Amino acid sequence: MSNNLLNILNELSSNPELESQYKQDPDSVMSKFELTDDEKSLLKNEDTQGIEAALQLSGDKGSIQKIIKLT
Amino acid sequence: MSKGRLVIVGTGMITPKHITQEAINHIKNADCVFYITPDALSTGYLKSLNKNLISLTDCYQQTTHRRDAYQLMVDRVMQEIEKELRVVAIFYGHPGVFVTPSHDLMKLSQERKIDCQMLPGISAEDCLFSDLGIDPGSVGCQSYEATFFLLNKLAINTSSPLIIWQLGVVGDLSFSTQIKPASDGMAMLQNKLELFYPSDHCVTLYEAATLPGFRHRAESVPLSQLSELSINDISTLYIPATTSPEPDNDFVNQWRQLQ
Repeated sequence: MSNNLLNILNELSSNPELESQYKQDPDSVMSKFELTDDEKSLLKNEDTQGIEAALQLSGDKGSIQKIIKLT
Repeated sequence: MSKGRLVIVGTGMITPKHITQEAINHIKNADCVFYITPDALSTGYLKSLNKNLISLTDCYQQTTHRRDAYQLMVDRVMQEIEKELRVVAIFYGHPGVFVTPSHDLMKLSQERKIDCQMLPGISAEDCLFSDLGIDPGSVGCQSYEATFFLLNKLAINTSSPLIIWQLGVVGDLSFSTQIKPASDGMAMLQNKLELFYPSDHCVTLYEAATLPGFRHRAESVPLSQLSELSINDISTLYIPATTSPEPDNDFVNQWRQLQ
């Protein structure tokens, strides 16, 4: 689990000002969270599946594919 | 009436920024919280609200048929309500949009006279309206699930926009927990849409952002190129109107005579 990756996502989700800054200048915002190069790359590439794999918080890895089809 | 209680809530498309204050309050005060959300970010946040958090995701691993997985989810939630607990069930997006077990839970709870309610959440459709600047109040809006659209003869109104959902599973008739879209599903969809719309009509492939800071996807192409697009599980198709609605002059004249 990457706490720094989780921290930046939590902050972006709860802090509209920071999210706005991130959209303008992602490198500047990412530099505040001590992310690894791989983590920065995941964010820059908007690699949702890669981020899920990196976080590995829930044990629900891969669940995105299933959950959107609850019909 | 049972003293158990059920509240069904949605997380919106991005947690926590889309989750409502009403949903948060119910989660915090619940004895037991079931959840099925697609990302670790939401799981971490939900755990911070209530420690008694139970995932329903494993229901998919216990059976091969989606309908059976949904029944497992319903059974698990109902068991806790029968213990007279305050139960919250959390689903991704809006809990009542493209979610079968939430409606099954509501129906069963009502039959058993259990205090229950479903709260609204932010759905992908809500995000689409915002991101693409669409107001369904202007000329209406039609909305169909992709496979349903293929399998049924529908009276498509070309004077109103059309939204086609779940392109990523188009043509999946298996109802298996392992998603199996038809290999030519997008081509079939394009062919059927070309019965209603000109091939050069510009359509937009849309995907809502699912993590904070990320951009939504909005890729516009002529309908003739639809089947060439890269489709993801969360892809949606937006088709603008091609005609103007015909005024109902008979009604207008009759109405004027009554004034």
